[in-house]
Amino acid sequence: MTELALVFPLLLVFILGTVEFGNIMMIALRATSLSREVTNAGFRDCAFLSDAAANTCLENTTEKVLSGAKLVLSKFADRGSIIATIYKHDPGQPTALVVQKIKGVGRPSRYTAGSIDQNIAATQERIVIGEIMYQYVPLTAIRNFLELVGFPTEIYEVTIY
Amino acid sequence: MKLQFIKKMDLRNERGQSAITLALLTITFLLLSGFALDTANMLIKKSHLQRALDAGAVAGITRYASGDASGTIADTARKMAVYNLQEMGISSDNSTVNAAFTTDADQIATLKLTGTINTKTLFMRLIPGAGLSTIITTGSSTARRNAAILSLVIDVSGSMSGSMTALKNAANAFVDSFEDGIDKMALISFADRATVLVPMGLVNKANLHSKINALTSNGYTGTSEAVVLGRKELETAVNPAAVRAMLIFTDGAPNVIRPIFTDANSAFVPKNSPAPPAAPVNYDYFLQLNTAPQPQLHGTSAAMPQVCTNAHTIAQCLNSFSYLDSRNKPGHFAHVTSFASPYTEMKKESYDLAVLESDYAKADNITIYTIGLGTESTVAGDPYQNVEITDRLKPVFLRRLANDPASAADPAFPGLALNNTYPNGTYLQTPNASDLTNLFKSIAQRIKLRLIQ
Repeated sequence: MTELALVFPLLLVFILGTVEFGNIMMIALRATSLSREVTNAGFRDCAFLSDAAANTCLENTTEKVLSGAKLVLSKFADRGSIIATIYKHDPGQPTALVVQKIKGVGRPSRYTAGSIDQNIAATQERIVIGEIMYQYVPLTAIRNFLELVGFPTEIYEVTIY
Repeated sequence: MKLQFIKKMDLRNERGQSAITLALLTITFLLLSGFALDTANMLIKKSHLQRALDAGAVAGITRYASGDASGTIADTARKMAVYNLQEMGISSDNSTVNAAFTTDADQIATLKLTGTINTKTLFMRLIPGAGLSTIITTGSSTARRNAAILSLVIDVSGSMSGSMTALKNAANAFVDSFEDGIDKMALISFADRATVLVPMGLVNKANLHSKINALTSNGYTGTSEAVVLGRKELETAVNPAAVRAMLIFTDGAPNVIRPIFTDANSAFVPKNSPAPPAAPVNYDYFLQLNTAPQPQLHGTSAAMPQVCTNAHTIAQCLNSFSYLDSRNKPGHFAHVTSFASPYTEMKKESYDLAVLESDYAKADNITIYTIGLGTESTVAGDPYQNVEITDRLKPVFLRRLANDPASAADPAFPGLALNNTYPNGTYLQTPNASDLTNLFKSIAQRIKLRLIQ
C-alpha cells in the first residue's frame, strides 16, 4: 500500500497527461484540416479574382469554414480564429496584401507582406495563407499543473498555397 | 514453534511483492504511454508533411497552367513544400522533398511530390536494440492537370460596336490561357442568330485568333440559341476526366427568342394562309423583340417567307403557337395567353428559354461562367429586373445562367434559388470594356484551377 500510495500520483499524472495529449492531438489534426481547407478554397476560388471580387469570395469562404470549425472544435467562436489572407506580388512591386479575413475571436495574423518568403511570392504571384488558432482548454484536473509549467495552450496551424 | 517460524518466513517472503509488481507495471505503463506519445507525434508530423506536399503540388501544377517549363514547375513545387514545412516548424535538416513532373501520352501533366521527415523519438529510443531513436515518416502527393473542354460564346450584337477591340483582346487572352493540342475549344458568336465559328476540337490558337479578330457586331441578342449551340458543341467532346465549361459573354439582356415554333394544326406561315396544315408543323423562325412598331418573325433562310410583319400584330401571329426547346420539349408561351402585353411577356419568355437551355447544360455537368459588360439594371423583387430595359445587364438572369452561389445570397431576391445539383459557375461584370481582358483571364484561371486534381 505504501508503494502504491507513492506511485499512484505519478501514474495519475501520466494517465491524465495521456488523455490530454490525445485530446490535443485530435484538436491539432482538426485544426490542420481547417487550415488546409480555407487555404485550398481561398487559392482555387478567390486568389485570382479582382481585388473587390476576391474580397467577397474570401468572405464567403471563411464564413463556410467558420461554420465547419464550430462543428468540429468546441466553442470555436470563443476560443479560435480563422485568418485567411491573399497576398499578391506583381512584377517590380513589393508584395502587397490583397485581402484578409479574420473570423472567430479575432487574433491577428502572424504574417505580414514583408515577412513572406519573397522568392516564393515572386514565383507564385498570388499567395494564400490560412491560419487556424485555437485556445486549448485542458479537459482534466491536470489543467492546473499544465498552467503551472507554462504548457503552451494555443494550437496554431498554417498552410500556404 | 516450527510452525510459527514457517509462517514468519512465508510472510517475510511475500513482503515486497507488490512493490516489484508495481514497478514492473509502472515500467510497462510508461513504455506504452511513451510508445503512444511517439506514435501520436509521428502522426502529426505525417499530417504536416502531407499538407506541405499538397501545397507544393498545387503550387507547381498552377505554374504549369501558367506556362512555365517543367524544371521550373518541379522546383516551384519543391520550394513551396519546403516553405510550408519550415513554417510548420520542421527544418530542412530533418526533412526531404522531391518533385517529378511528367507528361503522359495523352498530354496529361502529372506532378508528383514525395517527402520524408525524420522524427527523433522521446520514449521509443529507450528500448534497447530496437533502433527506434528516429522514425522516418513518408508521404506523397500527386497533382494532375486534366484537359479542358470549353465553349467560348460571344455576344456580337449591334450594341457591342464600340467595344469590339476590347472584346477581341479579351477573347484572345482567354484562348491563350489554354494549351494547343491539349485542351478543346469551340467558338460561338451570337446576335440575332448564333453561329458556330470554330467547331469543338483541339485548341488551335492561330485559327481561334483569326476567327475572333474577324468578328463584327450587328443585330439583336439571341442568348438562348447561343446557349444551345454552346452546349451541343461541348457534348460532342467526350472525356470523363476533362473539365467542361462554357463562358458566355454579353452586354445586354436577351431580345430575340428562337425556339422551334410549333403549330397545333392552325395556320402559321402565313397566318392567313387559306389552307392550314393538317398536322403539327415545326417552323424554324426567330422573333426579334425590339422591333418597332411590330415584332418581326424572321425565317432562318432567305427563302423563307417573312410573316407577322406589318399586317399582323404579335397577338395575331402567335396566339395559337407553342414552341419546342432544343430537346424537343414543349415550351409554354404561358406569358402571352392573354396578349394584354405580348411584347413584354415574350421578352420574359426569352429569358426563361435561355435559363431553361442553360439548365440542360448544367444538368450535363457543364459549368457556366457569365461575363457582363455594361451597367446593371437592378430592380428589387422583379426577377426580370424590368424586362423592358434591354440595353442593360440583368445580374439576376446572368447569375441564374451561371448558377452563381451569389444568387442565393441576393437580398433583393430572397426566393431566387441556387440549384445545388448543378455545378456552380460565376458571374463577373464590369462597366468598362478595358477591364474585359482581366475578367476573361480571371475566368480562365478559375477553369484552370479546376483542372488540377
